[in-house]
Amino acid sequence: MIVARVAAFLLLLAGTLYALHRQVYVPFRCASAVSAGTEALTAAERRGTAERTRVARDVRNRLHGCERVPPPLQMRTLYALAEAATALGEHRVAVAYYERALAVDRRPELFFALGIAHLNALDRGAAIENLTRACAFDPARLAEIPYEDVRAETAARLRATYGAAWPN
Amino acid sequence: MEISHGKAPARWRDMANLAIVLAGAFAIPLVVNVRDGYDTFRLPKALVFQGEAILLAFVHVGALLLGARLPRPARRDPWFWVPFVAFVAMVGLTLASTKLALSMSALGTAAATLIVFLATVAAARQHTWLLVGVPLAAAVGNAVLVMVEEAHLWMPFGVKPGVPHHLQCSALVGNPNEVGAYLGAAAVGALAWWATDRTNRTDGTNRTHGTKALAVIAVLCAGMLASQSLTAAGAFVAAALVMFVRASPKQALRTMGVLAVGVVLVFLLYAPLRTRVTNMVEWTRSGNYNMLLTDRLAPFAAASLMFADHPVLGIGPGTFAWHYYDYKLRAEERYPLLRLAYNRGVNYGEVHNDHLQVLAEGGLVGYAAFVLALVALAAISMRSGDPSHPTQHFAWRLALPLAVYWLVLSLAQFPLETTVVRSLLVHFAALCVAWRSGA
Repeated sequence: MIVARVAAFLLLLAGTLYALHRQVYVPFRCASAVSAGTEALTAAERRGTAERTRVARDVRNRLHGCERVPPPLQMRTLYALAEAATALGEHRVAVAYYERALAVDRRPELFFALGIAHLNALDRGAAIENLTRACAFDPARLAEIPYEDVRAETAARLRATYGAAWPN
Repeated sequence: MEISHGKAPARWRDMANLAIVLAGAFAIPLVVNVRDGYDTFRLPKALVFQGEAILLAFVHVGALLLGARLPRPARRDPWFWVPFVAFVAMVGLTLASTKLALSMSALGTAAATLIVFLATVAAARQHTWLLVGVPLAAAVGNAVLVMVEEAHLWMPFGVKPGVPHHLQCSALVGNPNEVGAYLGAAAVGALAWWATDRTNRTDGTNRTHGTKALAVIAVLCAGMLASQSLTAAGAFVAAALVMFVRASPKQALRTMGVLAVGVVLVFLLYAPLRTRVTNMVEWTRSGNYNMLLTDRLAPFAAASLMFADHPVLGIGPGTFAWHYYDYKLRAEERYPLLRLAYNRGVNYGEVHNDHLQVLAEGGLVGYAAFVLALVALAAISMRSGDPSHPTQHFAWRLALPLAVYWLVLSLAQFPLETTVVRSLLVHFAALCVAWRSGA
């Protein structure tokens, strides 16, 4: 009886250590890695392609195992992974990450980034659709669309949906 | 030998339970992650709270496995059922959620809160003032830090260019509003401690902590005012009035007078608060209700529309942020004035009003559970508070004002979603429950 109880206790101990690792340590580590990774990617934008590629690979390695952290950290993790994929030129992968992030939180900046990722992946229809969603929520983002023709088409779509007086 | 008797595991369980509860109460308000520039405060506190619940579950289940006996619950006691009814409601709402994955995460937080609450009740049945002193010590540390920051003496997390100085004065809590809400809750607890001590002195029993308690109240109130959170200050004043009215209407009148003079003086002498009140009067006159509500009309309107669409079970715990996108656009179509909002592009993660958030996410069922818990807490003050029994008197003094503080604070803040505020409110509520019959 005592042996069974001690065995059960040890099993419980192992389960507790696993739960602490999974629910506390991993999110803590991932939060630091996401923050550092996002900063590094932003800083690398001003440097050459080779440096940006190196940083993106490093971010991807650091965020290994972080995709299943609880929300809202999960959204930040997926966003950082999408940014890393964009830096590596893997635009379809970036689209997939942004779409997964949108399943956790629907923020205008996510719709905007997804729209740009679709543009990079040469899917103009999906790009306009997501940029329209981003700008419907936050009209100030319209000015951030980098291409004149895309901006005009997005604005036309918004006016068709919300009336000629949009954004007011 | 000891395993079969169960005394040693029970002793080990009680010691570990107390140590973990105290460590959580002290560490949660102080823990930060300086390596996470995006979420330095909230996430680490939520993780430590979760870790505390995991350790507490381990201690109790482990002790049971090693032979400790389970405490016998008093099943006729309504307080035995209240937390479980609230949790069962949470489980039901999660199962009916429109976004199950997000609601599961909220359910995990609710489970952790239930575990910490029950463990704190268990600890408080055997230990007394240590459980008041430890969380207040952490609160005093934060109060001093926010004053130091507001006075431009030291900014421990550096200074961000382009961000108003006041918004960077977050102590170790998160943002000025959360600092105010947290310090206000601590001040209500300290006030009950002081009032209990004062009653003992009047009755000729022992008096040991009156001066200390007054000093703690002064520091916490100064920190709360430095945070400039009007909701927290208003909730504290409401709680203090309720506390004194219940004890003695005469004393309450005196306290009201002192508070009124104090509030007027503070608003006259402290320029940032004076400016805020002047702006609020101006916005009321000009009908700019969105600015009056610090640009929160859009989440309020969105939450109201969510409740209108799902009045019984809500949209699901923890799903407001996900649904906000659609409902904010609908709210803007219905109330075009919202399109003029300064923060039109901000995606609110919380309503900034827990009454509306609970109604939106949990519908009438969720709100009934929320109100039930607070009414049950307030009801502790309806019993007689035996002055010769300090802990019972403390519970009698604190319970109703704490419920009032929680209700008023929830009008413009979200204590249920903020770990540092929720954990302190739950800690004090657990003390009231444990001490309501004397410890």
